[in-house]
Amino acid sequence: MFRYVVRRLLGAIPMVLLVALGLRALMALVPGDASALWINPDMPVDQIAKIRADFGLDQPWYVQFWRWFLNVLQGDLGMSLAQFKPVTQIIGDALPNTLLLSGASMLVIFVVGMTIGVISAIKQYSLTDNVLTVVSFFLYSMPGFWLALMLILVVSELWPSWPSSGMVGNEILDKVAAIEEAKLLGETTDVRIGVFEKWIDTAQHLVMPVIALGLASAASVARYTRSSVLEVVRQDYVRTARAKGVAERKVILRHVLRNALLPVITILGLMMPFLVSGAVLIEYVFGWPGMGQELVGSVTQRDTPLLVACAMLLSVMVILGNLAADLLYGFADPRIRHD
Amino acid sequence: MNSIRLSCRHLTSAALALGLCLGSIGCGGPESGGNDGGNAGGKNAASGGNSSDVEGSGLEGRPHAADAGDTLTIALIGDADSMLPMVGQSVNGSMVYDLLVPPATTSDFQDGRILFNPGLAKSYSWNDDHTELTYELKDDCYWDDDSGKVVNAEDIRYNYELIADPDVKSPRQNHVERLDPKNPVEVLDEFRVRFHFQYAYNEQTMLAHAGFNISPKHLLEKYDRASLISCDLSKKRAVGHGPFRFLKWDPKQSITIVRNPKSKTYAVPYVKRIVFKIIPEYQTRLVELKKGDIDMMDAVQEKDIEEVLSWGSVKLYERGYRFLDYVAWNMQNPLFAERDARRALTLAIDIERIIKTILTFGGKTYGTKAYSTFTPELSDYRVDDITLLPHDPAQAKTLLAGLGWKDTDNDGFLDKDGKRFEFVLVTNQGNPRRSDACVLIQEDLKKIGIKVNLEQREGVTFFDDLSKKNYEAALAGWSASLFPDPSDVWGSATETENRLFNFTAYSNARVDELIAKGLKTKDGAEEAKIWQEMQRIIYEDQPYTFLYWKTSTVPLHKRFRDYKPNVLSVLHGIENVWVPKAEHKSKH
Repeated sequence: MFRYVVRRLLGAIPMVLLVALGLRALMALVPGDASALWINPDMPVDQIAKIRADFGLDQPWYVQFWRWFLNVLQGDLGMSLAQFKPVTQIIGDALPNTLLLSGASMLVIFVVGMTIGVISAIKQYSLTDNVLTVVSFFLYSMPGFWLALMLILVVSELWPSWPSSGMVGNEILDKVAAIEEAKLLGETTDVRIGVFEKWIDTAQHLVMPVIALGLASAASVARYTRSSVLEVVRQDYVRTARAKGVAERKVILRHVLRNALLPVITILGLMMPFLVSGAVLIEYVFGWPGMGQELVGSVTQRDTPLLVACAMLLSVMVILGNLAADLLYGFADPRIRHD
Repeated sequence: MNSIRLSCRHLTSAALALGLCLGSIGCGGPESGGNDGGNAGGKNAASGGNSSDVEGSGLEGRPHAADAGDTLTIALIGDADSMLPMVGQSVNGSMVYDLLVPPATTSDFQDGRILFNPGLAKSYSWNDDHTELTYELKDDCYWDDDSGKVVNAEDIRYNYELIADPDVKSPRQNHVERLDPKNPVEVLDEFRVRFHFQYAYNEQTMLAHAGFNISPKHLLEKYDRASLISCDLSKKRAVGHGPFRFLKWDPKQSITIVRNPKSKTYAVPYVKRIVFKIIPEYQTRLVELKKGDIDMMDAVQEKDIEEVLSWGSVKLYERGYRFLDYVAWNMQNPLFAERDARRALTLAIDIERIIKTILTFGGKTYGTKAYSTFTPELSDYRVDDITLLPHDPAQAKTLLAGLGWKDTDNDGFLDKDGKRFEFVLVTNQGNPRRSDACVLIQEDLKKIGIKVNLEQREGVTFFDDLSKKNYEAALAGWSASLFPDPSDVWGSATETENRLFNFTAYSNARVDELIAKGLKTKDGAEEAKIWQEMQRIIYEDQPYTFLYWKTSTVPLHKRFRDYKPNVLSVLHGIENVWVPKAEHKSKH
């Protein structure tokens, strides 16, 4: 299996570079470039020309790509032309936050989606099934942006103390400031932030974005799971298990669910990159400091180095998602071997 | 001390209308008498206040010292790009660093004029021909990096040297472009510095140009000049001498600054901390404001004003007119090349209806008709007796008929030489006010037989197209400068000046002459006459259909007292804002 994984990863490198090349070419077609940041009536034209030359923006796109490629070979993804920070640093700051949000959303998608799907399937055409089907379709058809705003508006009315933006609450910010201020002044302070206090604060901030990001996808997974379970539940081996007197719970969990997992795993694998890119609007609405905000900013500011790095990251997520799905097939179905 | 900081951003001659600006009129609301209650609360709290909080805080002797404390939480729509003023580009950044690294002079806005007061400087003086400005600096302003170094004349000179250096990539070229390139800033001694100008011009503008937010030389010189834009002083911390000190910056999340008890350039603030929280989405900011998780945000949209007032917890402050919306007619397009055609288009557009439809809510109008790119806030430059073109579709049709535009094929649209009077009106994406105005204009022009197709373009593309004249007509906007320099918008393009911001390709020899003269005129009355004449000519020519100046409304939680924003800065006089002790929210 190790050789299989290595082979797949090596094969992915040209694909990621192709994505970067294509994106560079596309960005060359888009009007304006990163020097637009400097264009104001007080900035002499020759200075703007110098800035463009300093950043290599006066070169054809393929020359810019080639220079960038040589730097990438040395592990340097370049400097953001809008933020003037290394791209790796920007991604390093944002990616963990997005992974936290996406990871939690994946958990919701997996647990909620599969649970609803299985219940719908085993209670096919019942009132429960009908209600869950309607709710699933409703959630699936809701635009994430709208759902997020509705969540904020409704929750803030019902439960005003529940946090609706950012990652850190005012109480923690206040304590952090008190501690930092004491450090700045060389004083001591009895203000402390407990580890659990911080975790709980982050978890509270995570709830609404996770619901907004995960619910629609969970509804989709529920539909796939339902149809997959319905297919498996009619198989002979399930009937045999039941005939042997195996408990229904065991039949569903061991025989039905495991065999129904294969298509669901495929869907989950494909969802991984979507969770990073799809978090764009959710991060914007909830002020979540993740990759989504960086991606949008890089497009609007024509920050090609950051944009290309974000796109490459998404490509890597697609590849890893597919690879993870392929590997999980092996766990779900022992007949599948990766050589 | 009732002073305000004049950020370097305000000196930008004009910029696409995206930023913040202010006003000074309390917007009332059901409980606008908050100050009375506040004073009462303040007195009670003061009597029970802990005097140890005041000792060593630098607040000794200030009227509300016993109420000092609490945190002001402000929502920003985006992160700051830099804490180093000479390379900072964003309004979000300047809102923060103006409090940390304030300009050398303080300024105020009274009766339609900007007034400058010494800040970092004890005093200033001019030579006889007004080309030399000498500052005498205070000798007890220290950099807040605990280096023990005093802010001195060499710091100022070095900052100007850096701004002028192309390697630094400073967008603040307006601060140096009219200084004598051979000897721009001369250090006379440790606390006296002299600015040498090439020629005398508007005194306020000269003071503003010499009043840059300076950073410490002893730290700046540690960095290679080309790397200043990305150095620690730009991206991780700030060192200044202002009323606040930098504390913490979590990228894309928050920036925290704390009161500087050693501030000498401004009074030591009552508020202990300011936290800037980054919340990009407007609706989310509004919810946070309602819940009290933030105390202030950039502006409340007009449609939401009544609701915000109904909460009872927030007071609204109206800001002055800084935002102009206009329709630019591309004069390189034959449709708009003739002055009469442009005048006809203005006559056909019902500007009053636009203002009533998109800027009037709850019986109050948040805009006024415009006739120029000079904000009406500047009283000296107003042209009060100008005759504005009325809404007169019949006259518009007559003018167009005179140019040969008639509906010869009876299809409801004007045509000439077989071509219909039809064009695309573009605006930028994400601005509902402008897109609504476009629809109203489309309706008005249809009534006189002109077919308008509407289009929205992404921000950078929109600007790129405007500057390259790759459009027919555009609804755009300016955030107006308070220091007049119309050369970029109305000056003719030359071989050396391609005038990126002259979107309409406007060219008028008399206007060029007036601009050249106005920019070199020191006498205020004479300068005002020049700009007034220029405004009249441009209005007659109608390269723009000037639509309206829009005010905006800043919300602040009512527990904060004595907030007096003005047209220069949202955070004007923030050092004087206080909260009665009994109403403090911050526990630490």
